[in-house]
Amino acid sequence: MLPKLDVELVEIKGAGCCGFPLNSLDNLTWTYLTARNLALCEDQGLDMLPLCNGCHLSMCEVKHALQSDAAMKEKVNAILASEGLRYNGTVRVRHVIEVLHDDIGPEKIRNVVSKPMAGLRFAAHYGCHALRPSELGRPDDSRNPMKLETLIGALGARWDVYPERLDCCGAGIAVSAGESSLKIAGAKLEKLRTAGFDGLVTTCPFCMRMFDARQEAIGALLGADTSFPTFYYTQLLGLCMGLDRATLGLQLNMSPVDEVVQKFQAASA
Amino acid sequence: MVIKSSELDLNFIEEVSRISGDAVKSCFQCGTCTGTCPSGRLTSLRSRTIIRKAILGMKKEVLSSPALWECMICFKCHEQCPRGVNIPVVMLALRNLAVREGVVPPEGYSKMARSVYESGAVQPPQDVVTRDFESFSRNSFSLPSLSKPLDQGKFAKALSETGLRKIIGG
Repeated sequence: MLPKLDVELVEIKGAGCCGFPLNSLDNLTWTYLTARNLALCEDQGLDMLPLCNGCHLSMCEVKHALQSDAAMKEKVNAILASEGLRYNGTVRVRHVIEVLHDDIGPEKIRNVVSKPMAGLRFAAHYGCHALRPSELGRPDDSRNPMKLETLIGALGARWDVYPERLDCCGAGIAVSAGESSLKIAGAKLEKLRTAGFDGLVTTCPFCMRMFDARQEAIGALLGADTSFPTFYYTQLLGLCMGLDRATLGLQLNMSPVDEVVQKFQAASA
Repeated sequence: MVIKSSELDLNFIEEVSRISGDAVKSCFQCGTCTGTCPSGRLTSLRSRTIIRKAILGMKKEVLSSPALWECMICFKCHEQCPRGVNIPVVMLALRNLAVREGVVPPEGYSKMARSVYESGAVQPPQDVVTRDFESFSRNSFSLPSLSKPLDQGKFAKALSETGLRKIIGG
């Protein structure tokens, strides 16, 4: 979607895991893995756009840590040298909500929308690491974020604020406490169903995985129907720009999105 | 419960704060972290208790606690902490120290660590099976293959230097 809005996307050559999950095992390994990706990006003279909230936070945390700890920076650079890399700290890290809201802007999005999404009502899910820790400069206000809602509004759709809006998707303990992790995601899905929203909207792939791909497992665990249409924001944007379902990967959502898409198509036909 | 002085490591909180920062020492046990914890509602995690025990020096008990691994690192507690303790970062520091002491982390962590060491990614790219039971690979969408370290040998060598190789038992 971004190239259609004049954002050029370039692959970071040689990139690997951001390191976030390994921070639990070893702080230096995490710092190295994250700094390595930052250094590769710097090398290519690019801004970085990590799509996952966790990757984005990792990049921001390490950038901050190496700015304030010269000894650690040298230590990491000594390890990076084996691949001929060096981290200077000049790379700019952007979040997709910032790119959509601050760089492209709701005005431009309103202008590219050829089929407004009238009559549908969505709930926004930012994901923890898009908002916290606030002192690291997250893409939106940690207590009352509004950028994702503003972006939903720019599509002509309705959004509402709900009590569980800032709650976690549960992915953080998927590895260590699988059932609790599913229950946390499930609690949010159940509330959204009873609140009468047409769908949930996020930008983070890890949150998306919990709410969309794990939906069936959540329902089975809770012994309840937790099915609920869950979308990437860019999928809704694409629909409003007249792109077809396959181009937007809507056949890959595991949640029941068809009905919402049909409702949209009927209203905008 | 009597806490035996012979079982305390009075230097433990210094070890923790070398990774997490000094703020942890100023915890005054208000319990806001445990009160805001979305994981603790369902799991055994009580961050206030863990921090109290760590400050007291109950190293063995803290590091062997499965609750350490039940923190979602969501930072809700950190936003509310009146003493400015970054509790998730304290939990990560404690996990690091537990691993150093030979505690075996939940299996998924070791799997991801091995995969990163061998390929640069936490897991190989997976095919997607849709809700209509169709299977798709990256290829079927003409997506480029997943980027990875250009020289796997040099990358693995770097991960030996950070200590990851030792952690995965290489």
